[in-house]
Amino acid sequence: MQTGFETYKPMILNGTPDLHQIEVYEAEGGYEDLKKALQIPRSELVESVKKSGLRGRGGAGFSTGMKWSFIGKDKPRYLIVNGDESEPGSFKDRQIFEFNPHLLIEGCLITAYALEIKTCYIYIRGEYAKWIRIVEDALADSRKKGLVGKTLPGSDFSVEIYVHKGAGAYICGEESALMNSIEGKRAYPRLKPPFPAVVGLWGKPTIINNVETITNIPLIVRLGAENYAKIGAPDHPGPMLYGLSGHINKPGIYELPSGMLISDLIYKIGGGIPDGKKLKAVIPGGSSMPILRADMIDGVTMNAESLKKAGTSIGTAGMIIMDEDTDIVEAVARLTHFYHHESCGQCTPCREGTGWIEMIYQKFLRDEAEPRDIDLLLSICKQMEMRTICALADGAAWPVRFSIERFREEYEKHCKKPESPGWNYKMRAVSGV
Amino acid sequence: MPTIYIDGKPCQAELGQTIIEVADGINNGGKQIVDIPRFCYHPTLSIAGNCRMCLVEMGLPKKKKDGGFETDEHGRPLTQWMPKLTTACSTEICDGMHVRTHHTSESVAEAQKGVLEFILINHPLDCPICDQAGECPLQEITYTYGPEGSRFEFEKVHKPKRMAWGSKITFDAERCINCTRCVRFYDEYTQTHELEIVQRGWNNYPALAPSANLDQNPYAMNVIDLCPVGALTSADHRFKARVWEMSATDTISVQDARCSSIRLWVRDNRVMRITPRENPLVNGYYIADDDRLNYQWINDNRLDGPSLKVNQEQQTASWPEAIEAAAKSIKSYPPDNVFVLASARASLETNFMAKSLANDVIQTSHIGYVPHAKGTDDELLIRADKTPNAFGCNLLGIDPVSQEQLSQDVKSGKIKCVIIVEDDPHFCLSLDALSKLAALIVMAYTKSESTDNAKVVLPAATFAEQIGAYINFEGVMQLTRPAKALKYQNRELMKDMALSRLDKHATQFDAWSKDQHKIDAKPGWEILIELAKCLGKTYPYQTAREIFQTISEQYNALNGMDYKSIGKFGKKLQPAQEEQTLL
Ligand SMILES: Cc1cc2nc3c(=O)[nH]c(=O)nc-3n(C[C@H](O)[C@H](O)[C@H](O)COP(=O)(O)O)c2cc1C
Ligand code: SF4
Ligand code: SF4
Repeated sequence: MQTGFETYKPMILNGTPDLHQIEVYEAEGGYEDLKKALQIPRSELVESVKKSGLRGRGGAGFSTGMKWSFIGKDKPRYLIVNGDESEPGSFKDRQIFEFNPHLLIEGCLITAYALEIKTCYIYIRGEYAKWIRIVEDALADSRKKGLVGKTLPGSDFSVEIYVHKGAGAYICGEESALMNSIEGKRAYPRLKPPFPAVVGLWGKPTIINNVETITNIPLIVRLGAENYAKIGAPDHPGPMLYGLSGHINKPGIYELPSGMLISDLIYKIGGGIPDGKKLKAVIPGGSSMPILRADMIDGVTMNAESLKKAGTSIGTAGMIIMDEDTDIVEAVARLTHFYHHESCGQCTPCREGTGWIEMIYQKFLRDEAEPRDIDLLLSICKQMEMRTICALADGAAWPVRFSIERFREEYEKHCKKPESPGWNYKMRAVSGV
Repeated sequence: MPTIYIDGKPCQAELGQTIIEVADGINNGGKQIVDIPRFCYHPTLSIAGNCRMCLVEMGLPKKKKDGGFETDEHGRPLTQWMPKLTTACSTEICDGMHVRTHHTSESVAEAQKGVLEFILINHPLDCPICDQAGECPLQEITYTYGPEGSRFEFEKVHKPKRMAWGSKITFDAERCINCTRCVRFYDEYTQTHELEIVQRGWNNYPALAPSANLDQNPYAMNVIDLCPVGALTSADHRFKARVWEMSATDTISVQDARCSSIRLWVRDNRVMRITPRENPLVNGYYIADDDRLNYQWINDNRLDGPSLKVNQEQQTASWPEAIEAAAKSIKSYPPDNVFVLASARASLETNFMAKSLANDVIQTSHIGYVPHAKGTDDELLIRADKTPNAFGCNLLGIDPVSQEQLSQDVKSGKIKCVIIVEDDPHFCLSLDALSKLAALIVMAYTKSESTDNAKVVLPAATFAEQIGAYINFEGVMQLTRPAKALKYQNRELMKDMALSRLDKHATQFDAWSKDQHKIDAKPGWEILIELAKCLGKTYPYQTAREIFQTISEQYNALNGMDYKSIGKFGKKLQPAQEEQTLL
C-alpha cells in the first residue's frame, strides 16, 4: 500500500493564485502539453492513455483509453465533458472550473486532437452559474490566443468548444440523458446498446468523460504513461480529487494520489471528526455508493480493488463522513428524497420505486414503521436493481439496501413497539384478503 | 438463417430482428411463439424500453479465445447467461442466442410481478367506471402475470383528470402508466409533436404543448387505441357502452378510397364506435379520425321501409308496391331516356346488378357513377376520393359521369328517368335538373330533402348491414360484414354476424334489445334483382356471394377469386390482368 501522500505535489489544484487567468497559466507552462501532444501520432496518444491506466472519474471507473478505442468510424464525432456534478457528496469538478479551467480546456483540445473530433461540448449544471462564467471567460481567452476554434499550432486541426448549461437535473449527468439534453430533448436516458462511442450525440460517435478525467489527459502527456501509472494505486492510478464532507473538521476537496487510506483521509487530511466524536459510517464516493460501517474501513484504500473487497465502490471519491450520533435512517431518508425527486420517471421500477421508498422512510421517521417494512424496503430494492435503463435506480436502491444490511438495528429502533396499538394491523389486512 | 432458443425451443430468426419480434412470430406467419407481456412496445413505433415488462433472461454461446465456441462434455455449446435481465423489445438476436421467459425462469416471473406491482401502486384501479375495462392490456396482463395483492399503503399520487385534449380525446393522467406510446405516435407517425412528458418521477404524465391543437390532427384519435390503459378515451364514445355489451365485426371503412380495415362495435343494432383493425395491405394499424367518427348516419335518420310519392307527398308503401311502381315508371320511358346511376359507395355486387339492370334489362347504355372528391391525398392514409369503390366501378366498366353532364342531359330532355343507386340526389343532380326530371327512383340510406323529390324511395342497407366486396384505390379487394341486423333479415347474413356477450347470453327478459333499431331496408343488389324481375328478367341469385361468383367468372382481374380467398386482410388484384379487363 504505497501512498506517499506527504510528499505529493498537486498538479491540478496546485494552489497558484489566479491560475484561471491565461497569462498565469501560460507562465506556469500551460498549453505546453498540448503542443507536445500535437507532435505525437494520434494512435500513440490513445495507446498511452490506455497504458496510463486512467479510469474515469465520473462514477463508473471505466478505463478511459479503452472507451476511446471503441469510438465509431463515422464522422463527425463529438467530445462531451460531463460537468453536471449533481450527486450528493460530489463537488470536485467545481474546483477545476474555478481554479484550473485552462487545464480542462487543454485536456479537451488534446483529447479532440487524439480522436479527430472537431466539436466539444462542456456540459455544466445550470446552478454553477459562477463557474460557468469562469469557464466561458477562459474559453474566450484561449480563443484569443488562437487555441480554441482556430487551427492548432503546428497542425492543420481545429477544435471548437461550447459550454452547454444544464437546467438542473441529476439525471442530466447520465451520459445518454445528457446527450438528449444537448439535443434539446427531454433528458431521458437512452437504451444501451448502442453505446455513445458508436451512436451518441446527434446519432454520431461520441466520447463522454468526466471533467476530472479530461483534466488528467495533459498530465499523462506531460509525465508519460509509465510515470503517470506510478502515481497512487496501480489498479487505479493517478492524482485523485477526494471530497470530504459531513462530520469532518476540514471539509473540502483534496488532490492526492489515488489509493489513500480512508482513515488517513479522515484523520490526517480532514483533521478528524468534530468534538472528537467517533466515526459511525462512511459513504466513500457520492451518495449512490454502498455505505461502510466504521469497523469496515480498516486498511481500506480509495481505489477500485480495495473498495470492491470492502463491499463498496469509489464512485466520484466524494466521501460523506458520519459521526457516532448520526441517525442512519434519517440520513438515508434524506437521500431517498433526493432520488425520488431526481428519477426521470421513464422506467416503471425507478419511477414508482423511488417514491414508494421515500414514503416508507417517512413512516420510519414518524416511528410508525414495523419490522416488516424493513423487509419490504429490501424487496422493493430487489425489484429496482438491475432492471432499469440507467443506473439511477441502482443508485437509489443501494443506500437503502446497504444501510439496512449494515445498520439494521438502527431501523429496528425506529419501529413502533409491538405492544403499541395498531401494530401488525395492516399486515393482517393485506394477507387476510 | 440464424436460430435462437426461446425456453429451449429453436426458432428461426433473422439478424436485425429483436427477441420480441421473434416471440411474436414474425417468422412464423404472425403466429405467436411465446407470450411476452409488454406495454410500451408497439411494432409501428420506435423502441422506448421504458415499461420494463418484457424483461427476459438472455444468454449467448460461450466463446473461446480463438473464436470458437465452448462445449460441454457431450459437445453441446455452453451458454453464457447475462447477469442482468434484458428487455426483449430492444435486444437484437444473434445466432445461438438463448432466451428464458417467465415459463422457464423464476427471476423473469418475479420481475414481471415486480413491475406490475409498481405500475399498480399509483394506478387508480377505477376499472368499474373505466371505458378501457374489458379490453385493457393492464387488466389482462395483471391477471396473467401480476402479483396477488399490493403492499402499498399510502395515498396514491394525484394528477390531472378529465383533461380535454381538444374535442376528440379525454385524458386521465392518473390512469396513465407513462409508456410514451402516445408521445411517440405524434412524433413519429403524424410527426406533429403535440405531446411531451412533463414533470419527473411518479408525477410524470404526457401533456399537450401550449400551442398544439389535436382537433387539427386528422389522426389524433389513434392514441386512444394505442394507450394500453384507459388514460386516453374517446370523447365521442366515453361512458356509452361497456366493451362486453357490444359485438365487434371486422369490416372496412367506406369513408374514402383507402377502405381502411376497421372494427364496428354494435349494441342493440346501433353502431357504438369504430376502431382500427390491423391490415398490412391497406392501413397498417391506424385509421383517420373520419373513419372512426362518421357512423351516426348508419344509426339515425334512416329510411325505414319504402315510400311512394302521392300528391306531392311521400307515403309509405310495401316493398312489392314500391317495386311495382318503380318498374311501371321505368317502363313508361324509352330505354334511351333512362339513366342508371350506379355508385362508388355501393358494393361490387350492387354495382354489377345495376349494370345488368341497365344493359340487359332496361337495355340502356346510360350508366355511370358520380365521383365524390374532396381535399387532397395526404402522405398517410387519407384520400381525396371519398368513395370506397371507384376502382370496382371502373373494373366493371362503369364510367364516371359529372354532375354537370348528367344535369345537362336531364335539362335538355335527353334523360327523363334516373335510377339512383345508393347516392344522394342533391349531389348527383343540380336543383334545376332535379325539378325538371320526370321520374326519379332513389335507393338511399337516409331521409333527406332530396329523397322527397323521388317518385319511389327504396331504403338500401348500408355497408354495416351486409356483406359485399369493395376495391380500394390500390386495387385491394376487401369485404364488408354485417354488423347489425335488418328488419327482415336474410338468414344468410345472420350466419356472418358477430355476437356480443349480450347477444349470446341475454334472455328475452333482459330488455336490452329493441326492435325499433332494426331497419326495414334491403341490400342494393336485392332491390335491383326485384326490380329486374318486375321488368321481366329473373336472376338466380339469393346471396351476394353468388353474384360475386358470377363477377369472378366474368372478369379476369378477379382471377377466379371467391369470398373465402379474400381473407381477413383482403386481396390485391394483379395489375397486369387489371389492364386486360379495362381495355
Ligand atoms: C444518474 C446518473 C448521474 C450521473 N451523473 C454524472 C455526473 O454528474 N458527472 C459525471 O461525470 N458522470 C455522471 N454519471 C456517469 C456518466 O453516465 C458517465 O459514466 C461518465 O460521465 C463517464 O465519464 P468517465 O468515464 O470519465 O467517468 C452519472 C451516471 C448516472 C447513472
Ligand atoms: S432508471 Fe430511473 S432515472 Fe434511469 S432512465 Fe429509468 S426512470 Fe430514468
Ligand atoms: S396516456 Fe396512455 S399511451 Fe400515453 S403515455 Fe400514458 S399510458 Fe402511455
